[in-house]
Amino acid sequence: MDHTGEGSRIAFVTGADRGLGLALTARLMDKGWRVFAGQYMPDWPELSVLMAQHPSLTLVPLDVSSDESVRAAARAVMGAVDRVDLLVNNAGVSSPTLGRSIREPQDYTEMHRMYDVNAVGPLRMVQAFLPLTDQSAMKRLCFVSSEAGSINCCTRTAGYGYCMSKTALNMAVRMLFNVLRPDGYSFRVYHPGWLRSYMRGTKSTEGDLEPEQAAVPALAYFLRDRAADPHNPTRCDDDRLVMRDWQGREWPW
Amino acid sequence: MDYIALVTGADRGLGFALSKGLLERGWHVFAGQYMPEWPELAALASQFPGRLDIVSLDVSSIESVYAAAQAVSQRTDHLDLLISNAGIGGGHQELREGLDARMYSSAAIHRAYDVNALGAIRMVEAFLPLADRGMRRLAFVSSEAGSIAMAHRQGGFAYGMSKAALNMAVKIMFNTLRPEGYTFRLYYPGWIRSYMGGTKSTVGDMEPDEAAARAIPFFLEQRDDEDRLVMIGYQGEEWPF
Repeated sequence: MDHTGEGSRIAFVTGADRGLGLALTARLMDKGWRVFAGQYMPDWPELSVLMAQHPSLTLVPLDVSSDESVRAAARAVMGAVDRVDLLVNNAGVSSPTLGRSIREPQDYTEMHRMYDVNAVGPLRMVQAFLPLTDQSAMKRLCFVSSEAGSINCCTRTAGYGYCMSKTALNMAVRMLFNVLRPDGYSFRVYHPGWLRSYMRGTKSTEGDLEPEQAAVPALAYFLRDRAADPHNPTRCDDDRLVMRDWQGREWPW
Repeated sequence: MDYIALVTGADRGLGFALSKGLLERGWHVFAGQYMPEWPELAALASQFPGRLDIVSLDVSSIESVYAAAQAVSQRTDHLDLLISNAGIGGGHQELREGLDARMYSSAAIHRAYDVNALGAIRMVEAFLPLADRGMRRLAFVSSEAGSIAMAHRQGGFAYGMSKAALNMAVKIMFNTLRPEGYTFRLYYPGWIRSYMGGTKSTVGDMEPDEAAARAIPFFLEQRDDEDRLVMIGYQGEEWPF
């Protein structure tokens, strides 16, 4: 079963100002979803433009690195609707200090920042939105992670802060899975590919995919029920936590 | 020539036991002291005169770490074994009790990360020049709680996340430093009746001395396969990431 095209479905997308978050928001609305979009950058115009085109879009101020902001966002959504069916934890940051090897002084402040947004942010979001997601039949929790969080596949010699933040995110999701899977929640941990996005602050010219291109397989994976393992139809992603990428490949932790 | 080790978090628990065990094996030990009011290290120094150096060390502070490196470099020109052992528990967060519940805060999650993961990076960053001139052995006390593949807990996010992050950091260090002749020991020492929760735990499988007796041979011995980073547990078993 697929949940596209059902106007009664409600989603929350974090980091919706631009990049993948904006593209996912637009695509969800095209599919008839009601979307609450977490806005971190009120001066960035694209979300407001989107809202003018779509009455089903609500902007919610949101800084996922702030306990109070996340709680306020949850309260705002609770004031409008009685449930959230799909929570997309997309907000993420990188750092221009990322390229330093261990023989160079690391930027520990930036490492804390990336951890706060990329790892703790989604944990705050899931916790705060539980009263809303508990009311949903779908109970779908999605996390934009990265192959950069895979310890097994890591060949990097730098990027400590970003990689650790994504590994810690993956661990947080694994523990959330332990708690919430028995309650009927399903999870999508996703590596979207190498995007030309804004993670370091400005639009990257490097990368394989534009955000709008990346949003297509991402959303398909987020919405597909009981996502089957394409290499083994008897195994189902919902019953074991996996990280998959935009080409359906499974990544080890 | 003496073999020289540095142990972080040496005040008590596993760190203290590792320091004592290494001294008993004839090593010279620099013991990172976080709690000057805790008496055991001073007593140990008097049992091994001239072979235990106590160094003030807070791994959550880059200034403290560099000052410790400076202090150590006054007394030795090399380090053979660096053991990143200093670690804290993260409190017992339960998801449905909430992030802002009494026992549970984002602050606890960040503190565990700062000590358990970033602390190890700070140590390697600052002590690499000394380690370059020694045996080039880097040891890290991790935990099965950091294995995502085996993660079974429903609470205690701070600790598990911090140990998973540590494992990732060690992998990146491995990628850089293994080609330079460094060897790594990423270790799960077992469930120890130690002080991670602030006071001596009455639950656990082992006393710190027993844990150290297993850990030290693992840290010191040769391995057949130094070219693959693995997390090994106290029974010699491999833990997946």
